[in-house]
Amino acid sequence: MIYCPFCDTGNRSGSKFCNECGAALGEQSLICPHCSSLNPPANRFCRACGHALPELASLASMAVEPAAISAGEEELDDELPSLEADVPTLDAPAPTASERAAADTPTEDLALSVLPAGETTATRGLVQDGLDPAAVEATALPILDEKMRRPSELPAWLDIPEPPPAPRELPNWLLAPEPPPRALPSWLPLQEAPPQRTLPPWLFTPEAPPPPVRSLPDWLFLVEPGVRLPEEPAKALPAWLFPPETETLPPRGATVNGFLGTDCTDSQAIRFNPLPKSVDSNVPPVSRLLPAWLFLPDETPLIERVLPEWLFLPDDSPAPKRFLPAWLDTREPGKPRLLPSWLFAVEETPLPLPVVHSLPSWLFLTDPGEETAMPPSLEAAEAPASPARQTIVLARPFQSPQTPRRASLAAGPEGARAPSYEEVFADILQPKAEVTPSVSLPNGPRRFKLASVILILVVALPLFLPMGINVEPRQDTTRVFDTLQALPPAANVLVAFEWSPGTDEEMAPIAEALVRHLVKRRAKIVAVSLTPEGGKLAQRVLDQTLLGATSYKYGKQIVNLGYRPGGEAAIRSMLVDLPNTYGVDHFGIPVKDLPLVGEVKSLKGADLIVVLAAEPENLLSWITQASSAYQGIRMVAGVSAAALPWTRPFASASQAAQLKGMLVGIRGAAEYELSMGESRLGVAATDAQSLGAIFLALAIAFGNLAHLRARLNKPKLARASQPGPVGR
Amino acid sequence: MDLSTVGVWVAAALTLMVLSYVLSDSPLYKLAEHIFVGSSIGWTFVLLYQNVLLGGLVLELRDAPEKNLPLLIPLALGILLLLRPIRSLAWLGNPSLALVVGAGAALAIAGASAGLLAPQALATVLPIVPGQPGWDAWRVSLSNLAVVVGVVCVLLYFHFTGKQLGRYGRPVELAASLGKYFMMVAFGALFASIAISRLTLLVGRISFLLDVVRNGW
Repeated sequence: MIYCPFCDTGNRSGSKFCNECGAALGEQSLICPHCSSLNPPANRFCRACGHALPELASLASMAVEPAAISAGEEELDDELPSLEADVPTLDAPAPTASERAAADTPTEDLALSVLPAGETTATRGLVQDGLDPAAVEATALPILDEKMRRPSELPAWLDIPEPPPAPRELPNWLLAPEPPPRALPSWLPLQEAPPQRTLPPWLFTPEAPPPPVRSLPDWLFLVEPGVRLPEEPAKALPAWLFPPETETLPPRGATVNGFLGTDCTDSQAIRFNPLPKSVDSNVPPVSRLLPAWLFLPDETPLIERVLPEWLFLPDDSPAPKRFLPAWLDTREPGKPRLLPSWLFAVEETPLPLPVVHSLPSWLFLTDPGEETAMPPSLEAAEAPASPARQTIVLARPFQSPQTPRRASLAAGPEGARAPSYEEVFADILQPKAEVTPSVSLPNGPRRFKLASVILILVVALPLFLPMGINVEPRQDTTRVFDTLQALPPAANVLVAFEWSPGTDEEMAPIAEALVRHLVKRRAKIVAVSLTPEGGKLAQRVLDQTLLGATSYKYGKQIVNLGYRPGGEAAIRSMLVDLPNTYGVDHFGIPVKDLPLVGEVKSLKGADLIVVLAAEPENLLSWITQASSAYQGIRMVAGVSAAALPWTRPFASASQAAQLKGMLVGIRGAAEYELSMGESRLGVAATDAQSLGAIFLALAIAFGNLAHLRARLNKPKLARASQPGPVGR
Repeated sequence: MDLSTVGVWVAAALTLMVLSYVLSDSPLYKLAEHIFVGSSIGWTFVLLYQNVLLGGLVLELRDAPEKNLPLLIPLALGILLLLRPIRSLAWLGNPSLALVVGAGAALAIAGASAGLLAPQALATVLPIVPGQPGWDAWRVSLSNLAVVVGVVCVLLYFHFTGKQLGRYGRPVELAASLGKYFMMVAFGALFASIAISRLTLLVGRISFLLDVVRNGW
């Protein structure tokens, strides 16, 4: 580490200029004997105080004399205490290996380690004292080279980091003026000096003992020639540490056949690469002593381990031949194999030569006009058909076509030049011709529009020309019909209208069919809803089904209580007290003025609950809250087709089923109408829905077939440079 | 021309605007979409105001204040709930929120355990041996077998530690893979049912448009 004499910045050893201020580091600095300021060596007078500076050349030319050294050591002893006292106050670091090593070195080494580069304690002290240069010449130590400050016993890789620099006195012009003392405001007087408190002794930890001096093991040091080491008992190394004696390395520059000496043809000869000089065996090896723990005790017998038998092939058994499956062998008669050669078993036929990929010549940059011989590794790959590779010339790889090429060349046999960027990447840069697939298909959105228009036409056709598709009532529909048919006269039936206008087309036929049947059975109907739009939709259904039913009076045979917020909590409340749950009906009439509501009182008072739900969550709310709380509740449902997979498990023929029956979608409405001997909305829409369903099934089937065909044809299209997804 | 006739023509026009999405995502479709969303929210707000705030609270307190004094408790809780957006006063809405969440969770857990979990678990315990001869008995038996095997295999699919069961791990993995196919069939049925449901809506809309054209509304 070298410290800049001007800015005190630490620089790496060997630096010539300061990283911070750019000052030259190789030169020595002069210390003013008057003000101790650092000055460049070229200065003759101090830049801080103008005092005459001693010349550095006179100091640097001093010779080393033992007497002078001894004289300097006496003065050195006077200054060392102050230096040694300064060292630990820097950051008070833990003693490092370098400091421990410095503890064993002479005191001059320690002093050198805390002074700037190229400065000795002698020169510093003497120059600071303003002594005569002649006296300095007689007493000062020479400026030691940096290499001399490292103990020569340690190898270079054990470089000891230098300790942090000693505090140095800054010149006056670097010191900022001290701020003037400021008086505290009157409102902030110090009351009293804080009482001194003595800490209990147990808070103080005993002073840590000095760290033990640890010496490196001897085997870390290189043994100098001529030094006789203490003899140690000879210990035998295990046999597996030594290579077999018969194994000999080929001489440098020899040619070795094959990898690791295996037999191969001459074309596969591998040139033995000589070792670099740094590891050349010409240098006599240095004897190294291995640590004792690497040796096995002499009396320790070696353990013989027996390998399992399945690891050994029988001696007389020939090596099994391995053949690749037929689908891996893409070789065709007269064409080379596409698979790499190492995949195939060795045959009598010689292996094909490995393909040598040569770099384009413009990748090699040389000086203009200079010819560079081809590297030996590329000589074998030299092809006679490419004379441009004979010489490596300068070429601008990304040269624009407008500028004249400089790469013409010097020395190609036929005026060859290096290929340009456009020529090398001509295949990539040249715009590809549009390769259209054999079958031109419309794109995705266009096909979507086409399918949508066809679906609309298919659905509209049966509305003009009814087809009369036969509809047979299913068991779920029959059970709903039977349940309503079994109602006693003037039964109290609570109907929940749980759908929104978005699903009205599907739910309205179901609701109308069920309510019409209830009216036929002279049942009293209480309409409720937990969906905001349910009250209005319920009123519309009631108006259409009760058209002409003069016997039904509002409040006595039929009531529309409308929407009630609260969800499942509202259902629970209806189980306890239906009138107080609502308060007013859909039209704002107080419930107490509606005798039918007082007659029902709660859900327990209803002979049947009909839930018409488009979403499965609405039906599940009624099932979980009503049927679980009161086992005697009889419930049927009408749901949309989308809710069927979620609600189907609740409807069965068993007595414990939570739903006695269920109408599903427009098909369920049609079945119910036919069960009642009618033909209305459900039947009219069944034809259209059936045809639409058939069209959707065919569209899905053809779509899957098209997708399968696209996947099968994808490799061909990809080879035809058709990027992107195919068939979309 | 009365209002109902105007309503029918507006409905027909809105239907055509929505169906215009088949051709492109046109501004007409966007307009119809916004009208639908806005009218739904407006309808819900008016309904809540009339049924809950006005009919269930204000009118009740005006008509019989002594009898309906307990209604002030939900009123206060509702006002505290409105303080949630104010950061410094949001904690005042915690009791209201706790009441809503707690009551909802209690209702859902009680209803789901007694109304869904137990009945449906019992419903999967089905006889798989036909009790009487005949094809119908065998068909019911096979259906019950499919239900039982499907339930078990799908449950094993979510048992992700089959490899740690040692020699029993392989059958568990096989059953789990079979359960995956059961779930794929179920998902296919879900997709098909939704497609059929939406197809019904299309049939209803086209039928409505044809009625408008036929009847000249």
